[in-house]
Amino acid sequence: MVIVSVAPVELERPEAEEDLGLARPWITIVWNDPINLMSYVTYVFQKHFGYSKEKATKLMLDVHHKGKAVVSNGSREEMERDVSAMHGYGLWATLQQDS
Amino acid sequence: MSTAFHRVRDGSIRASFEAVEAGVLTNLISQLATLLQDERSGAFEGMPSPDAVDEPLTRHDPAADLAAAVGLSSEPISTPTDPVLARLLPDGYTDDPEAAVEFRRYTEYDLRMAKLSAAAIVLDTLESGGTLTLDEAQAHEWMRVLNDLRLAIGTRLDITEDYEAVADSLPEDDPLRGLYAVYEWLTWMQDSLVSALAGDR
Repeated sequence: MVIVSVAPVELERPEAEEDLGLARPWITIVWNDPINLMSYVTYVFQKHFGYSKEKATKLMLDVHHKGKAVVSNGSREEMERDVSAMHGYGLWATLQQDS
Repeated sequence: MSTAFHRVRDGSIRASFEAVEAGVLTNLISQLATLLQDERSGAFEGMPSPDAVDEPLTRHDPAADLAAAVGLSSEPISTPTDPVLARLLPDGYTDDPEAAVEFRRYTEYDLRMAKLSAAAIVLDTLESGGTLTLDEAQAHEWMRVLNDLRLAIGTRLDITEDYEAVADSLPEDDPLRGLYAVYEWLTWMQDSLVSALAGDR
């Protein structure tokens, strides 16, 4: 293994970062509905996102009590895939740019 | 009386149904499949719509032909007007109607096909009564289909989180009582299946 030691490079500060929208990722939101079972929603979050039972349960409870929860974030394409997968499971999901 | 889903020693998942219950399930799944196939689904198979016959130009649009061949509608498609279908095939965006139409154009066909394929697997594995043994993949499709049936019936019944009070207040001879009973049975079956898959039971 080689350790490369280099002097820190002074990078130009990306002042225009926010204008490019880079600081605002896309998010997948799952909305509450009176039909989907709590056990099912928790299981879907574990299965699709690979979340622990604890994290999946917390997100499910957020959906249930607050009416919605952000379940993932990333590029627009990734979020469209997540939303499609949620629709495949019958969950009510949408994507939008983080505000 | 049916037995709820449970995992058995060899890892497979089992449940048993009375013949009448298997019959009800078969009937409901057929209705679900009909719903998912109707309306615009003809357009997805590359068949000319009645409108296209009157407009020969659109029939020879290579882009439209290609789109039809890969299962994309060349026409913008909007949210289904039937509330059950709208719940099964929801919008992907709430804050951007144009993006919602575009998202639907690229995803709705696959979503319909995935739901139909799951329905076909359930019908294939469902015996006319007796004990049912499923592997993991089949059990997953069963779970999705039981959920879709609950979404369909729940939306028709306009189910709320305290629907039990509504159901209990119906007159004894109200035909909706039967539908509520089916909904509760599906809920019980699905919950047992989720538990079996999640390893809770």
